[in-house]
Amino acid sequence: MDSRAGMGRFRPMGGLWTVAVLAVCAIMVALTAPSVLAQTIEILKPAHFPYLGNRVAVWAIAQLHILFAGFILGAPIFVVISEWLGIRHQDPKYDRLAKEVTKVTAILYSMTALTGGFFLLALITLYPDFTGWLFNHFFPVFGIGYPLLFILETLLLYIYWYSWDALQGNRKHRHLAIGLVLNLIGIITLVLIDGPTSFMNTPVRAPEGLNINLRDFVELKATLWDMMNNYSWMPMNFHRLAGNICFGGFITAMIAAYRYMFSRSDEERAYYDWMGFVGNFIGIGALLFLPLMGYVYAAEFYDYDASIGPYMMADQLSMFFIMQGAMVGLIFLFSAYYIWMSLKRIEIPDYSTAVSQKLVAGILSAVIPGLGQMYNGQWIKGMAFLLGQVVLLGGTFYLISLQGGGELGLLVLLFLFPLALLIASSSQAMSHGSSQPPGRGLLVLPVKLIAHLLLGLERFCLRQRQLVIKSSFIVLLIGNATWMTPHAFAGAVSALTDQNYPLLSLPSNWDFLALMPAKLTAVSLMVVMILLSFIIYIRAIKRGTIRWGKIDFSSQFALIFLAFAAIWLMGLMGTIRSLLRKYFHIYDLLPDLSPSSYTPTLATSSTVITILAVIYFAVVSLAIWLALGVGQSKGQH
Amino acid sequence: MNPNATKKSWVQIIRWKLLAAVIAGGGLWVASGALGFPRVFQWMYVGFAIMGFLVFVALDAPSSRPLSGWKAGIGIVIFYLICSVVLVSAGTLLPQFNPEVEIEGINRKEQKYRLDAAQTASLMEKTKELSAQAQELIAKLNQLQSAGAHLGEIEGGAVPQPAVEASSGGNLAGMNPVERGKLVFKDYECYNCHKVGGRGGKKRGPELDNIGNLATEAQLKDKIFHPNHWHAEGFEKREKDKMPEKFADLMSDEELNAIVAYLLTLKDTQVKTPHPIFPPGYSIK
Repeated sequence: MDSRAGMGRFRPMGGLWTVAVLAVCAIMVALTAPSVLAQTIEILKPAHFPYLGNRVAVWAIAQLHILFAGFILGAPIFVVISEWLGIRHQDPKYDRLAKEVTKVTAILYSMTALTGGFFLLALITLYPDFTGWLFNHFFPVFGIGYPLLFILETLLLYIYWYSWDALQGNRKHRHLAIGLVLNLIGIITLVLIDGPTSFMNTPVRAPEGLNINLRDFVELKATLWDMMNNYSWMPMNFHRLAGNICFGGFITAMIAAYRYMFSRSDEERAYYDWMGFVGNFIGIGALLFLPLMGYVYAAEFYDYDASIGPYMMADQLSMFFIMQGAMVGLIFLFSAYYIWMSLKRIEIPDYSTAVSQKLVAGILSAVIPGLGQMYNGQWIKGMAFLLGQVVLLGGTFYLISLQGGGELGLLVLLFLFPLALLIASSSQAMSHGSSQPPGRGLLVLPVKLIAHLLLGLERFCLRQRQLVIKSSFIVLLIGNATWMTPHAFAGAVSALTDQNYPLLSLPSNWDFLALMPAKLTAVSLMVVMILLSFIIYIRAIKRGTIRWGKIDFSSQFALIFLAFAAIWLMGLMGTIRSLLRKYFHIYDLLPDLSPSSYTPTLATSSTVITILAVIYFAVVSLAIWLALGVGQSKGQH
Repeated sequence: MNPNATKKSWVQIIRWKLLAAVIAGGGLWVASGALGFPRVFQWMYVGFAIMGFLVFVALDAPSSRPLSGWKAGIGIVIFYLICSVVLVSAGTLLPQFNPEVEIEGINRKEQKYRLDAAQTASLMEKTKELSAQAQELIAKLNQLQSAGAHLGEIEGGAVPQPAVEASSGGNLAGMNPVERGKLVFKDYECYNCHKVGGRGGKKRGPELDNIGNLATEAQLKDKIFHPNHWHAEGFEKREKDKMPEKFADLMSDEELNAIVAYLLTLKDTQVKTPHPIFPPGYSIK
């Protein structure tokens, strides 16, 4: 593999000097410009953006900026983990993956800076009063911290990229350390800029007992730290961090899918098939945390102002959450579909012999303590224990040997699990009545039972994987239907106040379907099902032989869809977060009474989000083509 | 899963799944209809049955033919187009609210903020005048003191008191206070937590249909601006759903008067509006 592939005519150190000089200039501009800006923009009059209107214009540019920023913050986390795995496993595939993703990241970094510049320009010209207010109140963030961190991150990214080939072999750890520092700076940048962003949603209020209103507190008493450390700051940090990792994973999988589709050799296909697997693995891994983090984030809003909760879930934004439910459901379904297609290319050996051996071992392990009980004079209890063990293990064996046991078999097995614990606890009671030291049965027997059961379960799942994963699809569909069931389908405002407007709400005795316990149960089930499918997938890879490059072609569209859906969902959730501020720039503090300050309809929002997602995809696709497609000859790697 | 398994035809793949989907979809439609679910819920559940059918067909579908080169590129573009059309259609087919309703509310608030701004400007102007007068008086005072004149001659009434003009209310001023109050109730989204006339949020806050018989004008005003001063029966220990303490910052006096005027008209004794629980020593009558 040509390790300098794609670097063109750049000489590493020459490139570094250029970047360093530019960075020094940028630091000087960055340190002087914001103070001048903050003083001058407040006297500007707002311009009107033609056709789109001011709100949609700022929305579009902000959304694009955040999508690029999300990737350049998420991808390096992914890249460094990949590089570390490469060192640990001494597997060059990981290093190649890390390098290819970094190459795309470097191109998209410039797009982040470009859209960031446009975003700033749009804010200054379209909303000068608000921008001036925000810059003045968060001057250390916008004027000093953010520019410095951005420049530092730029420097580190280029050092990381250009030193890739120089820091190989024994010096590889140094390269990894640069990557770690790069990520640290990236995370600090994210946390810093989240301060003003979250402040716009939940501006800090005076502590209880201090009889002062919001405006006076912010203007007169609150410190910068008070404003940064607002209600939704930390939940937003965690949510965005996990979201960015998820996003980085899915985009990496998409890069792999593109490359897989255009591969000309089996080796290339095998590599990009593997890369898609890794990207999807990280994407889904981070995705599993997002519902919980989203819940905590929303709960903080609710805690800040109880009226925000119903506004989100039952009022004007409720249909937006139906769309969110649909998208999350689709992401789960496509993830499970990808796992399904992946499993098809894994050859798993027949476990009948192994299971038989395990069964004999299991029965022996059960017989000996049972005989011991009988030897101690506990005949009936010893017999009962023996019988229980034999039934349990025999049942497990029988279910494993079934060719079409199906979902019923799995359910029976799951039912037997608590039974095993029951028997184990009775063995504990027996040990108290015998000469054996108390607690021995509690520690040893349940561990053995659980170990046998888990092993049996694993083999059962592997053997019956088709049925298990198909069952998980049924659970995913039911879970998603529950998640999407709202209290009412309505254009909310009129329906909640106007008697003439039809209220399309659930029957009162089915109200529980729209309540939080039902939603949490549904999402937990979905997460568990994906986890179960993934465990089966991972165990299958370990036990069987994976034929990389032989995955069905349609699975690549699943990877592309997952990236598209993740971007769309990010756009939707960002829209919801912004719309929560209603007609305020800063909630309850700084009103936005401009003509376009109303909430756009879901139809408008969906259209805007889709157009932005397509633009983003077009740019990312171009970046992938430039980074990995152009100039790479056939079979280069 | 088994590479040696015999390939099934599309008819074989579809037939049982279609039957299962028809049974599931039909069952969901009939059952949800019989249980009183509105039609839109029935459609949603049937939609899930259809989606289930598509998912299970996709799972058992024969291997797809690989695309390469420009065909793969066109495949990707078509795929994006399909995704875009499906997502925009889904967003458009769901019920939409009318932005005009919100725009009217914002316009009303704009009037309020304009009035607030005008009031602030007026007060600032008066403050400047008063400050100038005060400077003149201090200068005179100094002159008088130096002249040995008695200070008491200019005490009392010499400094004019700030006369704050009552809000005219702009175009809203001429409106019936009760009708205006209904709009304030809507503009501040009180309906999300408080049911009136069977419409509005459930369980978060008390139903208000009989509040006019249970609380006085002063008590209601106090409750809106200081939600912790007293509570409705059954809501006194709620921490999570407590009423926001922001209305004193956001509502003008005109809006407060109007909403209370509206609430005082709610006297439906058929509805069990919870009684107010006043803390010991509460003095507002």
